[in-house]
Amino acid sequence: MYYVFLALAVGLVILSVIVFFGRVIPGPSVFDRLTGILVIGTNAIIFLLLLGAMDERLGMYVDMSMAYAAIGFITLLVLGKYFERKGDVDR
Amino acid sequence: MTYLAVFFLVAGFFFILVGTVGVLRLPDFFTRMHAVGKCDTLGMLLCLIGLMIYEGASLVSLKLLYIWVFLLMANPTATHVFCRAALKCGLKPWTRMEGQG
Repeated sequence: MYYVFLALAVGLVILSVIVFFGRVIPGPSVFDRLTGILVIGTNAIIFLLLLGAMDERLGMYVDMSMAYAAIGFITLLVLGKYFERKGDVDR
Repeated sequence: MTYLAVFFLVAGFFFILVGTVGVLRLPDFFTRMHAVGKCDTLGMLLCLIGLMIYEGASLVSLKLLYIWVFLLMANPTATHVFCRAALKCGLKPWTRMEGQG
């Protein structure tokens, strides 16, 4: 039962990533794109962990998700501060 | 224990689904950020709790706890930075127009 729900959850994460790409590509302002990338990054963390749980080797995948979380967070903070300085939002 | 883990997973994915619907339906950047910053973070944290319960007490669930605390701090911080940057760049919050309802 647990694995069925894990598979359902993986499907939901993929659906959510597709929906957020629909916000990243046509997004009216640059911050919409950044938000979409933030959510896609955190969904990727969950996706990795769920795949690890389905694979029964969560110990390998959890290290990758730790690194991914740290790198993604720092990247997005730097991008946010950079676009704060520019002043033009319609990109 | 498995039932509890499945319950937390399902609760987490309910909240992720709500955040996704909010991003599809809400009218401007700040309202969409409202949907993302709360629903998506909560969904992710509940989902991690489900995985932690299923894993039991081990080093792996300690690492999961690290990711949990990190996401709990990182996700709202990133949301806050984007909102402040958007306000400073002059993005106007959405308000209901006259005669629209």
